[in-house]
Amino acid sequence: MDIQFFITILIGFGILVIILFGIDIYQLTKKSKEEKGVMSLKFSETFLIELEKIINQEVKKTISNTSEKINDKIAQSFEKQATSLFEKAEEKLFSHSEEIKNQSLKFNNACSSAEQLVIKQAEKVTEQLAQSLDQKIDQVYQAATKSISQKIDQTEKNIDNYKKEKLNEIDQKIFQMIEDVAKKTIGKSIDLSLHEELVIQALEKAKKENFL
Amino acid sequence: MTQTKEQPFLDQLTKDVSTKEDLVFFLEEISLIEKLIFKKINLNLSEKVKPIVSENFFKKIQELEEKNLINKNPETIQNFFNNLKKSLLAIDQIKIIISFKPKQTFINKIKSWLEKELRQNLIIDFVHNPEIVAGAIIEFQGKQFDCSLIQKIKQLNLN
Repeated sequence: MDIQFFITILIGFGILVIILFGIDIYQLTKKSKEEKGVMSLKFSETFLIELEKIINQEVKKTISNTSEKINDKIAQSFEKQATSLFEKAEEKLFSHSEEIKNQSLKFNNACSSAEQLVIKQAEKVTEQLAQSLDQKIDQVYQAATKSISQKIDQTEKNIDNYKKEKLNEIDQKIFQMIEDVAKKTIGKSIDLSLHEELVIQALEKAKKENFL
Repeated sequence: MTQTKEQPFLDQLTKDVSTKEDLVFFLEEISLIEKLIFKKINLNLSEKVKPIVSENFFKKIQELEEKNLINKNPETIQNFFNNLKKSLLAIDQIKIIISFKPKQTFINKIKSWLEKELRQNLIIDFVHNPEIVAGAIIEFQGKQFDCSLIQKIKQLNLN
């Protein structure tokens, strides 16, 4: 674009030179044909030198202006591009930053989920272990209790049997002693008929004493 | 109180109950009969109860049917047995604690003695307790009369 601008200026300047050269030829044609040829040649040489100077100056000026403009344009373009790049870079940075934030959040969430999962898993495993342990303890306890209970039952039965046996022995001895005492009291041993007779006597006595 | 047609038979049935054991057995048989009263109502009661009651009780039911005290009507049968239960439970009881297990002859003897001497139908609750050695302890109407040999021995020891 800057080169096109430069070429346009050069073309414009060329056209100006041609116009001035045309004017000069026109003035020379108005004078005499003799003078015209010498003067025209002189004028042309001076003019050409001046024109060259002017052209050089204009070219230099134009080059300088163009260079300045180009530099400005380049500077502006650079600035624009730099701004654009900066903005894009900022956008990219922001975008990456957001992405990083999101990823970080996701990572944190994932970590948190993983942590929760691990905790849950650990809790589950702990619970299972505790249950298993409880069951084992219970089994051992039950087995021990059953065994102890059976031994206690057996021991209690043995004690009861022994007690009954001894009490029977004592009862027998007591009854024997009582029989002996009874024999001494009523003067004879007690058979079934005497037992029955004694019951009838008891009833008669109860009636006699107005109990019945 | 007017005497119903069934009353003499109720009295007869209750007289057959001498001991508390007899009473319990009798009430159990009545309970079995009551379960069958409202089943197979086209049959006589004796036919229904024959497989489940004692021979003695079966004969008594037959007698009831012959005398037309009960018929096939379930309500009549239920009323009769309700009255019988009331009569049985109304009889006074006498508890006699003795040192031996009484035989049926002895039970009959005691029952006869009570009827003769006291003119009262009583249900005897015999309790076997060898510790009294001999004689008897009699409990009647909330009072106790101790005429056991062990009591006499204790008294001798005290003296």
